[in-house]
Amino acid sequence: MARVIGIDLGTTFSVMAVMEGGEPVVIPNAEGERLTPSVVAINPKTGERMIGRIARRQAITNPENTIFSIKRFMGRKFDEPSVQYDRQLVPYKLTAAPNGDVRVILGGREMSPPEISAMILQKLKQDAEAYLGEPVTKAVITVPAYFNDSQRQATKDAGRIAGLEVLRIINEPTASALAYGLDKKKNELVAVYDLGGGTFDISILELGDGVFEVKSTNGDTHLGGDDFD
Amino acid sequence: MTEKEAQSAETLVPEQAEAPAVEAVGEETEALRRELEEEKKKSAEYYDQWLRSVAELRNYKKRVEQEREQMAQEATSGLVLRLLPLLDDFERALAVLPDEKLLRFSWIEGVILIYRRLQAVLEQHGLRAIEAAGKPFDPYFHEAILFEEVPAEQDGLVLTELQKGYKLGDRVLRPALVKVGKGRETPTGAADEAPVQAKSSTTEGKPQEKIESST
Repeated sequence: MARVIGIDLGTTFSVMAVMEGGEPVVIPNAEGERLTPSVVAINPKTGERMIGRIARRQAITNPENTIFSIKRFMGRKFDEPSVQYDRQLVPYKLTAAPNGDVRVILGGREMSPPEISAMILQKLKQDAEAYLGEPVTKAVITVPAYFNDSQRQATKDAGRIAGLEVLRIINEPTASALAYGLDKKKNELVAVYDLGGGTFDISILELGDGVFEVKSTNGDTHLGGDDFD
Repeated sequence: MTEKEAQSAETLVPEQAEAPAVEAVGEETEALRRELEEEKKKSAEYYDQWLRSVAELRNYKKRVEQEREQMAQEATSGLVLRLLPLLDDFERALAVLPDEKLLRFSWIEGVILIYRRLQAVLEQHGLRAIEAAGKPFDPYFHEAILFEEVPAEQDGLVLTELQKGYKLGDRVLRPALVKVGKGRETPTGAADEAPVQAKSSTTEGKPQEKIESST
């Protein structure tokens, strides 16, 4: 039976884990690290595709073809104010698809944000397969609680492009609460505080009888560990 | 009459009693059959679960073995990584030797020997310096932290090595921090030869994107 991997597809870093003997275990990537930078690059001269740490190392020499923070553009329309704002912060080029969706230009080709995310997922999948010694086809992916339907769908699409059957999309604060073991207790109101590499989120969850309800979520989408050093 | 009746009644009684008994046996076998069916299903399930656990255990053992090897490697690489700044410091110190004549002093020579010895010990453990200066920039070994505009022929070359990089065995322990040259004019003709085959390590199973005179 193929195993299911859990993926935190983050703005700056991604992580994957698998259940082993009833416990979640983080899978290290091919480079032996637990965190994989969510960065994709294409060398314009050779066409070589780089993902993760390697892509990050060459970012400064190849800023136009190094895509990071793609999560900010997942499932969004080009005209949205947030896209127009973020557009000024990234060195790569964005354009609009005929249906108004965001497209990024990588290696001279227009690509959709799910396609870029899929490259990251593909690397995670490959590395997980190498670690587990078996094919991986199923995954659960987390998304911010504030993601709307279109952003969730885009995340699902990314999984599908990477050859993963996305069994479920889970809210990040819910996943944190589950990992913390809050499902065991009853009727509680908790705050989940998530200071990531690129974003800062806080969510209020109501737990009761194994049901998690996100009561409210807020934060700063442009504050994270990357801003600290 | 009464006797006959009684007789027939007598003979009837066991007959009548037999029919429910047969029925009861039938029911019982049916129940047993169902039970057997269930047990069979259960045993198949258990067998399946057992197979899975055996497979899982085997995989687990393999992984533990792998992890043990990795741990040993990582323990070494962790220590070596922490010793690298010492090598750096020695190199920096010797690079700013105030006077060449000082080299004649055996005390200085001794310090140089200590440096060489440290280097030799680490090399015995598989440490190798990464060549950087003047080489084409390769993100697998180099980390670009600066760039400088240069004539087109120096495009993509490492101009300066800001911190030495090291490999331990096949793995990059620390990438070299480098300054990379960036061609002043965007080359349009010369650089557009047939796209070079990309390294297979990251592009497995994916069609290569060919970039025709982009940028």
